[in-house]
Amino acid sequence: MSQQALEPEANLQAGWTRTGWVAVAGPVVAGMANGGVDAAGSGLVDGALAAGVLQLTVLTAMPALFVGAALSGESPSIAALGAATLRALAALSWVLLGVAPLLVLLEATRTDRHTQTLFGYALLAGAIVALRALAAHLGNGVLGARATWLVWAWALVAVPIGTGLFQQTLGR
Amino acid sequence: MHAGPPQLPSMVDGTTAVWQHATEPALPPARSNPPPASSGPPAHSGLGADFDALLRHPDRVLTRVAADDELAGLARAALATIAVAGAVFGGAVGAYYGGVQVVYAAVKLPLVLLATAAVSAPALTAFNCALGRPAQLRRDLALFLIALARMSLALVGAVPFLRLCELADVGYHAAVLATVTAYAGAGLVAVATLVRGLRSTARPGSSLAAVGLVTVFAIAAAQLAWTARPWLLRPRAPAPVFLRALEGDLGAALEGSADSARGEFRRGSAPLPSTVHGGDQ
Repeated sequence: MSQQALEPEANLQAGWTRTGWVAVAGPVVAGMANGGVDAAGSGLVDGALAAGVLQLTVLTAMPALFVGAALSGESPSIAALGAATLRALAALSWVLLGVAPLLVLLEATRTDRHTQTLFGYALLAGAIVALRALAAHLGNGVLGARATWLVWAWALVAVPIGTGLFQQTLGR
Repeated sequence: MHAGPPQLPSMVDGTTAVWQHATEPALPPARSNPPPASSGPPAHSGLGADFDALLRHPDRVLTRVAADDELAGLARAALATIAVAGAVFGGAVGAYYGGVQVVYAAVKLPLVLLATAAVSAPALTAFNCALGRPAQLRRDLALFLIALARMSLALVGAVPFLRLCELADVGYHAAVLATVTAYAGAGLVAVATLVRGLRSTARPGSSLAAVGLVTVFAIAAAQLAWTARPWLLRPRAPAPVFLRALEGDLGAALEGSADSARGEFRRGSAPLPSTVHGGDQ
């Protein structure tokens, strides 16, 4: 990794803790809203599941980032790639936090199907925003112009895994 | 260009450049020459001025929001506008049935608008965070209140139309359609204000934020208005009610209506009309 990339790497790791908390909070809150805040225990379980699924998706797809970086002749550090991925997850999490009040409103009308549909669309929108954020952070000195290519490779792995995991755990 | 005494300032090409070279102008500037924005009336000097700005100078108001300039005053003016204008429109809608329904609807509509802001403003802040844009809940809430205040003013503009519909005895369903059209049209005013507010910040991602925000706002506004029914109340209704029991969301109702239009009914028969106001309108 070039010296030029070291400074952005340090920047990426700054605020790691806060970003991590946001990355966890979004899926938990939105999952709780989706599960129904009035159902005893059900919402909390759904929130924990949503957070777990998203973390698992990222962890499972991380090797694609390293392989893609290696194929493109780059050798970024694990910390740099991890921090960029965490930022992307936080972006997705912010989207879920944003729609959480609307999910609560719809859930209060006792129409689970439409609440779940909106949750699904929110996840999709969040994934788009996350990929955008990932490309921006990786392109910011870590991988340069090859970041876009790498993000698409990552998306090819992450989106099917995430979709499958969500259908297995939260789809009902 | 005029010449000779007294020297009048010329308005060449509609610019003010000549004014700077003219000395002692004998006549005040022509009204067709708009003053620069900085020389206008004070941007904020009380509730009345803020209300005037909300109504006539939305760009100036949005600039103040972007600069975080005296947001409290703007928010107060917006809240007052929502309360009064929303009550006027709600009352006009409730007047279709009359009696205490006028009061019910006049109370409910401002609450629905404020609840819409409560649901949608956090979404704007969160989307801004997600997109790496400047995010501040206080400023985003002010932007929402301003958008909803302008929506309320648009609703007031539709009141004569609604009253005309009622006077023309267009019937219950047509009156419902007219009300929904007015509400949706006023919602577009709010959407336009929100989008302009988002674009006033020169940071990337405003389009994505606008798409997400408009989606959340539209769903929240429609769902809250649906949940807070009845508004017009059928003429055959025996007595006004403040709120109906929960009947699912707006999407489910639209699906039910679409099924009914195709001849697929979900219940055995429609409820029979009573004779409170005569006829099933």
